[in-house]
Amino acid sequence: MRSLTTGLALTAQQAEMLDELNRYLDEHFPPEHEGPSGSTPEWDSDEEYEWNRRFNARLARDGWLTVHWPEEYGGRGLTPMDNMLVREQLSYRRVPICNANGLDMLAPILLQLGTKEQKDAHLRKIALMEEHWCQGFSEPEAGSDLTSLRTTAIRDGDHYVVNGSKIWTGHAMRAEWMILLARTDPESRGSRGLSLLMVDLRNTPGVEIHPIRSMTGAVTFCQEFFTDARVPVENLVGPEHEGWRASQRLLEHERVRAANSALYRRDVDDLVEAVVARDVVDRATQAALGHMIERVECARALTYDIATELSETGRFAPHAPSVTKILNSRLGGDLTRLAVDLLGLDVCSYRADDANWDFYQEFLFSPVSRLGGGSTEIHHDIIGTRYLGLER
Amino acid sequence: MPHIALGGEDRTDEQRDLRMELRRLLTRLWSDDHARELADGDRTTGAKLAAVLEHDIALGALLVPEELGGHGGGCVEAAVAAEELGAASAPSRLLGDAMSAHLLATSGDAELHRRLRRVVEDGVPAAVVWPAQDATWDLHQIHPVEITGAGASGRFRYVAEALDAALLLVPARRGAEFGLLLLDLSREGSGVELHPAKGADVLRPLGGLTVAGPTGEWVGLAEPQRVFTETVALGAIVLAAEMIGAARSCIERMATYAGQREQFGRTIGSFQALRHQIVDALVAWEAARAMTYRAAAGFAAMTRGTARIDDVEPMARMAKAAASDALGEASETCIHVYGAIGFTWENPVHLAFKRWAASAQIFGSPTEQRVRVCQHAIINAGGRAGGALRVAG
Ligand SMILES: Cc1cc2nc3c(=O)[nH]c(=O)nc-3n(C[C@H](O)[C@H](O)[C@H](O)COP(=O)(O)OP(=O)(O)OC[C@H]3O[C@@H](n4cnc5c(N)ncnc54)[C@H](O)[C@@H]3O)c2cc1C
Repeated sequence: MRSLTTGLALTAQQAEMLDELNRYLDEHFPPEHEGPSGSTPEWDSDEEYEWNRRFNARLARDGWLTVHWPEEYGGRGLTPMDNMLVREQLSYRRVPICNANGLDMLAPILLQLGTKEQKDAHLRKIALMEEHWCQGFSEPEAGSDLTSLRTTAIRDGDHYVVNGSKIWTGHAMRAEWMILLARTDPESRGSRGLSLLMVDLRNTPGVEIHPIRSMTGAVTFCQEFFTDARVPVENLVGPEHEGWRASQRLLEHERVRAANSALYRRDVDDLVEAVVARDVVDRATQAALGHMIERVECARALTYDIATELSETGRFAPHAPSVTKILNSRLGGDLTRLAVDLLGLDVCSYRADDANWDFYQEFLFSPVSRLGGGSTEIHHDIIGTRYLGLER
Repeated sequence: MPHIALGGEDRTDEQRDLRMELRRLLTRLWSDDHARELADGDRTTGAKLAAVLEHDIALGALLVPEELGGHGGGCVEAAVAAEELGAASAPSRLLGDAMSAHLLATSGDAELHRRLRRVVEDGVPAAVVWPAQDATWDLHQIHPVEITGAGASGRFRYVAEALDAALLLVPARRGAEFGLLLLDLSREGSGVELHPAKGADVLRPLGGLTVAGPTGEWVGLAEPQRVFTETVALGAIVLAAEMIGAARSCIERMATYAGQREQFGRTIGSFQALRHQIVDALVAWEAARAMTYRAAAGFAAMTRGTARIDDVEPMARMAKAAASDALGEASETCIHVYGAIGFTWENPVHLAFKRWAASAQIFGSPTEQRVRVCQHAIINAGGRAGGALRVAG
């Protein structure tokens, strides 16, 4: 098994940790469960999803999924940088991470803004895959313009009463819980008056979930309808009406995940292997692949910087998530197009030994990379206005 | 829907009539719902359309010379039909029909002319078995079927439109002689094995073919290399035109949607960052479309004897490469403009995106075409292509 080198001056503990992880994966993670994309195992067959769910729970029990969490919630109390190093290896080994919304979006917010009861109730279950989470933000009329959303959650005694519809919710077909962004102040408009609520999807009357099939052929997301669905007040995360600020943080965590760049490195390595196995590799192809490696490594260098900054100061530069997002989404698209060009008509049938994925699947997922988590255009606007101070 | 295409005017009445008739017919018979049914695996969906294309338009006779019972159309007519079929995401046998008609007609062989007449009279679906991954278009650089005393033997990993054909025209070699092996699938039993191959494009399934044993009918050709290179060049132009059509539909769809969908209180098409991407796709498409019809006109001139294959071949390659890039850009941008809706199965854009993954590769990827266009230029400049550039693949 090839492994991913960091090119960093790791501490002895970090180096030992990564060796141990790779030995662990050699022993427990068979290549036939490798996935095409790090965080989409819920698109797979029921059987495959079940296997991954159990394997993710095992990873958590054995201390590999949440190394940066406090020990009282099952973590090892390590730094965000350590977590990133671990997640890079997991990505490189194509280990599917089922609960991306729970682990990488909700958990950081709960750790920062959640009540003791909320942390006790959910954090361990998130790690152990006892609660699979989805993220209910987008609406049919509110995509890029998220703060125009219309779903309401109106306070009625000990509950919020939710009405409206969410759409494109990844994981919802498998999830037990949703982190919902809704308007709690009916008089408000725009980013004010929104709140984050945790919704128990399977035990709340008035919640309907409709699967949506995507161009890959699989069900990859859902639309949900809420009709007078009652959510207990204690499921409010962070201050009421201030959910936008908290959810911005949620989205930023989505964006700085290291996973993508490391997975892309694996893609390039696999592509090199495929190309070498087929033919002599001419100069133009070498240059194209070399350029891809350079771009992936630049993106990784940037993620290392961001994780180091986060570990040392608890913050990162305001435009960092947008820069990362734009770089990675371009990479994703260009990489799969190069794979189609190099593998030609074999792209649908080529498989690495024993693997459970192919480049054609990656090609089909690739349009999402420009769109999900805020489109490339929106991130250009964010960098231009917030960082460079350009006029809107 | 905006009317696009700078060079949109067809040069002759026949071309315009063909385009209009096809548009009318496809509007009536082939909606996005049909394309979706086909994508869902319903193989009966295309039957009605296929029958009408065969009987009302006689697409199979389009490129057959009038003296052999056909319509006497040329490569431009094939491109017109391909563009319209491509724009409608409609399945057809145009590629196989056009290539077979040209091969049989241009062979100059009386027996093959008789075969072509029968193909037209009986409406026999025919296909030329040229390896779809090949970018050389050169009979001496592929592996034709070998014919010996023991029979024929050969393998083709991917062949376009062979699966539902009744007559296969297979490049073959007997000793030092090159020619054709005719396989009449209604009669051949053992010795011919056709099986579906995994592919991206549901509208044009690829098949693998194995020939082994005493089967088929050998016909020697007087100018085998010219005949096959021309035939594959024609196929490349047809594929280019079909991709031009598919790209046109993507551009029309995204322009329409961008004018309707609102975010931030405005139509998304009013955001320059998005509008310019749509426009860039259009600009690339205009140039590629012009090149495609230029190559088609060049091919038609060659068929009439007023142009040479040496000049037409690079044009066909450039058309194929440019049209591939145009479809790649238009389909990907279209999915993006639609947002998450563009990623759904319900929205038919993915058919164009997937078609690109296959059509851009058949008879050579854009990269492979460009290498050969450059080699052609090097030879014209007095250089030696093989020495100056190492050829990939
Ligand atoms: C596979 C997948 C999974 C998803 N998972 C989730 C999920 O789990 N939870 C969730 O809440 N959402 C999810 N989404 C939804 C995603 O966040 C939205 O698709 C995204 O926010 C864009 O919204 P939209 O689809 O409505 O497109 P629109 O906002 O309508 O955008 C359409 C096009 O217009 C462009 N555009 C919009 N505004 C501007 C502007 N100001 N300037 C320039 N261009 C602009 C966009 O870039 C895009 O190209 C998912 C989407 C996909 C495809």
